[in-house]
Amino acid sequence: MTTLKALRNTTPRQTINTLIVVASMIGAIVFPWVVDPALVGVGFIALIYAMRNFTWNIAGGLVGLLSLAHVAGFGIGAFTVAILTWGHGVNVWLAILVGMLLSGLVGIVVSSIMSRFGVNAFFFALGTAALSLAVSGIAASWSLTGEVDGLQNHTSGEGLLHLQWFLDPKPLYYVALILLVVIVCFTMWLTSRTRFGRSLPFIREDPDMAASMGIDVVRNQALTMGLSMALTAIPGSLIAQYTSFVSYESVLTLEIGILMMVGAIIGGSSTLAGPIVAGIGIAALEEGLRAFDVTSSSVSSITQIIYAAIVILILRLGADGIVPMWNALLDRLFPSREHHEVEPELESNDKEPAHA
Amino acid sequence: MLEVAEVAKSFGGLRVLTDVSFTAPAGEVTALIGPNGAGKSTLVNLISGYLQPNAGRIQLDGEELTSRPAAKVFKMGVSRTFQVTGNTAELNVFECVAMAAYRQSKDFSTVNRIAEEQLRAFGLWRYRTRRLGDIPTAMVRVVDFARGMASNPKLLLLDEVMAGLTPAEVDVVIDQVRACRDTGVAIVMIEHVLQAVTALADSVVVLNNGQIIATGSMQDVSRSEEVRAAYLGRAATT
Amino acid sequence: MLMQILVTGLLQGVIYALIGLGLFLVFNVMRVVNFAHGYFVLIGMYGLLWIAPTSLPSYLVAAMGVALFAATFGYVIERWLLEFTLHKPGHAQLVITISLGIAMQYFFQIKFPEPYQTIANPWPFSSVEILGVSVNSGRLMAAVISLALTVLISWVVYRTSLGQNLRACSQSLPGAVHVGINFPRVYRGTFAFGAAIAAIAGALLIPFQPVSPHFGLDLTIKAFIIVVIGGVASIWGTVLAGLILGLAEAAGSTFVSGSLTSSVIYLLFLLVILVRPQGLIVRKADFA
Repeated sequence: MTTLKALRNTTPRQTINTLIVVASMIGAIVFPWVVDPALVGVGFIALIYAMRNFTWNIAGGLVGLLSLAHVAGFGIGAFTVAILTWGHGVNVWLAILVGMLLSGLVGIVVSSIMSRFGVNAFFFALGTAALSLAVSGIAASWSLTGEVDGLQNHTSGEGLLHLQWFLDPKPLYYVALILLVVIVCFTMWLTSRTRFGRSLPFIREDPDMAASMGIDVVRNQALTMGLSMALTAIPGSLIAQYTSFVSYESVLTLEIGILMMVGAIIGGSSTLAGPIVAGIGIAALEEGLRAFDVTSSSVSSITQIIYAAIVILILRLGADGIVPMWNALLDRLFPSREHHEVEPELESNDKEPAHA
Repeated sequence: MLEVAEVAKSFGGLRVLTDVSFTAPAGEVTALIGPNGAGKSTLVNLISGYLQPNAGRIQLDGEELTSRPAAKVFKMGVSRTFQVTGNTAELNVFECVAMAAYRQSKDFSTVNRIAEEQLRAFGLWRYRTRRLGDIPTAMVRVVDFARGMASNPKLLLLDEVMAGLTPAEVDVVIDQVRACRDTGVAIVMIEHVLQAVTALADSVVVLNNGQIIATGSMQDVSRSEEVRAAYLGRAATT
Repeated sequence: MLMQILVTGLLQGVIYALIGLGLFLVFNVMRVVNFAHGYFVLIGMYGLLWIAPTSLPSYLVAAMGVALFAATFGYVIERWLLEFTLHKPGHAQLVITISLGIAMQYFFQIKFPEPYQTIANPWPFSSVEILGVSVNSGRLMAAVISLALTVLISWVVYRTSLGQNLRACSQSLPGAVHVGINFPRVYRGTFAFGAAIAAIAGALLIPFQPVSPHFGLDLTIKAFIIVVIGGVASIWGTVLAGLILGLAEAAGSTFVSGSLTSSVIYLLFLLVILVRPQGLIVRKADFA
């Protein structure tokens, strides 16, 4: 445990960021009680965007798989709830699990096949895009998924067991918040405490070197893709419960898939916080535009354009995204004392007997 | 003990290695020297499973390494360092060493303890929170060496770990190589720093144009006319 | 039935070939994977929709106009957004072109909220009978002009000194630099040219093909399908792949519903990527 303590040398940046995280957690908890009830729905959507970006980033940012297949996972999550729960009365939580399993399976299969054939990053993006379009086309022409008309929720159960509340959006908001926190904590645990999670940066940076360190690159990529897509099914299921309506146009367009990718990159795909910040940011942006009395169909169009413009700008400037930029700013404002602390240690180190 | 027998490798029509055979016993340092383009790095790539030979066999303690993927070769006890670590700038120093330590243990805190020991032993502890891209390039190779040690290998392949180090740093690394050798690890090192080769090598294998032209002690090979012509004559000026 | 499939498929295929050709040139010369290519076609379609020409001469002038505009737009994009990503690792290029496409899609969405519009047929006749199949004049003329342009482009690439420069950059950039080719200019020119071809294809499509903003993405993927299937060996592979795609679509839509047809095509494409991923990236023989 001494190692851990030594690693956790708190820099001013870490202190500030910890404070921000705590503050935003408190903010997120009290949010539904201090704002106009209509805004609770906006908060819910923001959480969905954050969850979507974050779960995409597990594959996209941590391992560098630029996947456009995740929208298929999102859609699978939504449609599984619609078909099983709305259509056949299966418990919604069970349906969510089934959706996660299906979506995760798609992720594992896609990644395994792509690695098997040695597909490069461009083809990975292209191939996964084709897959999503194919799935979307199938959903649009299959009676099970309601063809172009989609599926409606007519169930009447209310409460946590049914994940449905007719008048008050607060419970669903908290469910989304708790799930987001659980997913984030799980990912943090995975990436910092397990061999599997710690191997991911090596796979991203240099698969060949990773292999020579005993990392099973193909397997870990496939598992990450599976995990990432399984988790992406969760926001899909939640949005289905929220809107009580699912169609291929509302949950299975490639544009959603691109938004996940773009959102994660804007926030900073090398960080865990980045995709969440960007997700909440775009929801706030959408709401802000509504305040300007823009027609509702244009609101999403304008936010998409702004989104695209920001990501192009960030890449053009060679920046890493909002959170890394923020961290760099903090580091410049509050230089760490680390360097002065460790100099004496060096000398004592050199005199230490070589370890046997 | 590493046994390389009649290994050959060619890329397209270009023969890089022809009929290469040598052994590297456990507890000894075998230096692989030769002019640039002699095929040293290719040989290291073949042993570590990066490349597969066109002919010949490679065995470690009687176990077959030939045609095994790199990850498997690592699990069997072969650890290597890299000459070029261009695209690994984002990786964390501590994590690099800790990752390799997973060969010894599955336990989180054990792995971290091994990584800490190695980093301290190599004088790298002060760099632990840095990214590889933020530390001196010469130090990246030392991190690589520490990484190799953390896996507790049977065979350690050191690919020019001393290049660019100051003489004082070379001494630290030399001590580490000795300590490692004394634990019974077979070490194969490609090295241009003659200070290190002279100090460490129990035997020397000289490669030129993809063939072994001499083996033996440093004194033996430096007496060979062929070696002088191919290598030492030019190397002495650098 | 068979004749119907054959005629409509081939006519549509020729236009696909023209769209694919632009992407092919950009990819082959610059190694840029342009995910915004399909949206350049939309520039042509929406451009004409906005101008709304009423006579044949004004239609032709407008088509030239949108091509010129697209070329300028492409030049600026290459200069400001893509040049810095060339010969650099990372995925900036991919994300930038995708985002550019998305931005254009939603721009059109706002500017033209009414979906599925066309312009009045500019051609002086309405339809002709080919092999017993009645063909809309817009479709026929689009195919004829596309074919002529394809032949013209291949002539430029294979028979002129301009084309020689393109092929030199494609085969070996160091070699091209060595013989004194100003490759940044060739790159900008190629990208502008690719965009112009796409816009012309759009202008040819709009008289008979109702337009919608999400076509951009479909056309991008279709253009990639053509380039991947066609391979990088020659322009004619691309043309052939365009015809195959047109035929496959015509055949598919005769038997199953539209969206399912495209699903099948996308899945087939996925298969092609898996079987020959080297199609786009590793070049066995350049288009020489």
